[in-house]
Amino acid sequence: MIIAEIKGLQKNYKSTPALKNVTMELNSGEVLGFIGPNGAGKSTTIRILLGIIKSSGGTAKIFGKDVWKDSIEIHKQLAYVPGDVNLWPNLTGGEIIDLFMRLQGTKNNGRRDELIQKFQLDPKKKARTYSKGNRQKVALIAALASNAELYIFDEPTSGLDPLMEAVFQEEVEKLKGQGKSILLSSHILSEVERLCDRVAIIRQGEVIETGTLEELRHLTRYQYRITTKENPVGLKQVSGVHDLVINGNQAVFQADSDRIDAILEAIVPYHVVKLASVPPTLEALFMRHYTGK
Amino acid sequence: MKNRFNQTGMIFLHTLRRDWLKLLIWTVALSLFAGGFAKSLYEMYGKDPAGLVTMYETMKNPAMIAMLGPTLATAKTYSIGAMYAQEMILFTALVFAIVSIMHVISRTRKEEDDGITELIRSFQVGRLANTTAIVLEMFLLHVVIIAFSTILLQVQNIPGLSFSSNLLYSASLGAQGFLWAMIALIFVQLAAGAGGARGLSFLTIGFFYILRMGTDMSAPDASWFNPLGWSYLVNVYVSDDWFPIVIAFVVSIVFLVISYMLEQARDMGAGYLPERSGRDHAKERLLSLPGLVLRLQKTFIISWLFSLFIAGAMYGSIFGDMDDFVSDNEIMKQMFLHNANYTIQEQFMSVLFVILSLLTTIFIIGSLMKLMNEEKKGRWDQLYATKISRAKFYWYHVIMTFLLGVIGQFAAILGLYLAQRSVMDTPLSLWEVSKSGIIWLPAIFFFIGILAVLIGWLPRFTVVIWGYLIFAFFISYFGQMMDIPEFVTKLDVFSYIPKVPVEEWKWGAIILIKLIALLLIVIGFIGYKKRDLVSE
Repeated sequence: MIIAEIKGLQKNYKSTPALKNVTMELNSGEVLGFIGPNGAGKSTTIRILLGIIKSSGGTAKIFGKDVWKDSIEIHKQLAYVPGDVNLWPNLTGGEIIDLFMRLQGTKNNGRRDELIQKFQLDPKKKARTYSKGNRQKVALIAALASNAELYIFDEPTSGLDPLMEAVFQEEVEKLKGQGKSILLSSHILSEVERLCDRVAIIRQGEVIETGTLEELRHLTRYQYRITTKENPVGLKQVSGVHDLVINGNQAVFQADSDRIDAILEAIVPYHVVKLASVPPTLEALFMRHYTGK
Repeated sequence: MKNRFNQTGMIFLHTLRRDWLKLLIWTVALSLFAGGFAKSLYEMYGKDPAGLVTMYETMKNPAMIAMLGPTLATAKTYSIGAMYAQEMILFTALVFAIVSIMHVISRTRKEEDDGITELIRSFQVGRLANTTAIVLEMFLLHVVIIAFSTILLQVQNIPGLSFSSNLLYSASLGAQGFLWAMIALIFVQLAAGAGGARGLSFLTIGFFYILRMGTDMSAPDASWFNPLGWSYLVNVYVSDDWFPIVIAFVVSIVFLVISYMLEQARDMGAGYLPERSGRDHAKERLLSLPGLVLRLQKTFIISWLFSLFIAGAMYGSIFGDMDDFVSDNEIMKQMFLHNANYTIQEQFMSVLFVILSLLTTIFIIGSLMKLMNEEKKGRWDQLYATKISRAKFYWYHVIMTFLLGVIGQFAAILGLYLAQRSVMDTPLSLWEVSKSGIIWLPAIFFFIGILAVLIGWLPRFTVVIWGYLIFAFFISYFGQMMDIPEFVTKLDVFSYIPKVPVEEWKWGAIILIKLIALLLIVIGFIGYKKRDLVSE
């Protein structure tokens, strides 16, 4: 079942386009990673999905309902953590958590207290004394303790330390185990790699790639490391070989996935002793999309 | 030692560069406030010795002393200067003090809370450099204000106001401004954050203000131990005593030294007073949108209702002496005795409510503006992602503002009613006072309407409403004295309201303005429902 369906979403501010074409889907029980650099349009997309701003074109549906017209119906089943958590300075963290949970529609004090403990938040402090990480914890605790179908996290761990990041990942895995759907916008790629079933990459207001990590890897180059008996100079002439470094009998290069056949043929005459291939990291994918390498 | 002040000069220049516009506006505004009213008071009361005697009697009224402070002059020495100083000095000192407190805290502790100080300290900047720069800035500001205010008084060329007295009058205000800046600086060190420092400073000033209300009547000498007392104790234009200014200055320096020592010994970001920890769970009444909105505005609402009540009471308390006063004063006679069907009090009241209603309008604009400010600060984002609809956000705020408008106006009515009841032989009834006050409600509602349209359609330009308010204030206050074309006056919604009881109650105008206000609010809603949320 499709939870969120976004097709050709656009957003223009005055005449400058912030989103040109955002198309992606989130299926039930799935974690969708939404990655892209600052200013690519992640938060804008999410704000449209929440009905906070109105799209200029395209369609966006959550639970089969229009995100602008039926936002209230959608929000009954949704929990959200913004990228920039702004809290009322004169309320305590505990008060704000209770408020968010009530307005979201959940009452689960056991779960709330468990999360407060896990995230090591002091709920008695006024929000004005909280650091960025602590403000994020307030929003995260309220969202994670809520009973929703869809969770939207906008760079939720950017202010957390690695220990807290691990707590967050654990909690997301728990939600995933319960069959909840999650949209996770992030640029911490290791986190996305660990948690997400599928990834959508956005660049300059356009989703340029979606798919499982496996699928995305096929689109890009594996790294090869070979050791041969003779200096494999012939590789220089093979198309599909990139960033080739030959050091005596050793060579390191990246190969287009559709040229593997030809490349292997080319190295056979040099008597291959050792061959190792490394799948591209998400980081490499990311860098390739953004820098064209 | 030198290291602590390293780069003070640089920070000082940087501060001036940041603040120059603010400083300029304050210099003009505070100098005008301090010295600008002398001529008009002279024209009104000072020309006629009999007028001064009546004023002397009026100002002996305990309510007046409680609000404005005492005078050390006798009936014989109560000159125009003595009257001016009594009416102005304490009140102006309060304004100076509040401005000082706000600025000092926003440039010291607020920056520390925001993490700006941390960055600055990582450079070769001494620990006390920033504080010292602000102290220099405040000193300079007040010296300039003293100069301007003195010049301003001098050029008005009022008989009996000599240069040395004008200088003393201005200096006593400047000294108050600087003194309270230093007091704020101590609380900056003690409190755990800017909010706490602000709260403690205002608590202190409130405490001393109320303390002197008591001592001014019963034990005038006790004012020597009250920082606010050092303003009127100079006894300016009567016996010109510079000693209180010396005290204020010496105490300021002592406070500065204490503040330095406290700042030296504390960690950045820390305070001496423990931050009171709050609740770990919310009370039930916070857990809804109306509950939250009320909680966020609680202090704002209470302090405004209190101020409106006091403002009403201030005006009400002079009703008692009005008869004597007007019969003695030619100008006042011309102003008030042209309508023999009504008492002077009734005529005065009908005009007064223009001012009180404008105050209520400031209050409700401030309240409704919070709907916008919270949105700009991004604090609504998470609430918008819940099942609360925009309609609820909008209507809760608008309806609350309506109610606050009514309650605020009644606070002023009640203050005026109670005060005049205590000073008049045959007081006006609550109903008579109320009629005069509630007739202005439609005009107040009209302001809600305009602001609602701005919030719905031009969310980035909501400040325009203050422009319209200033315009309305100007027209209402000076409109009759100046020759303003009628079509301009007609743009002020207050001009359509009949001044009850002197003018007749007009249902037509009232209902029409109410309907227009309602229509504007609906138009605003249409815009609000379909626009993007904005952020700063």
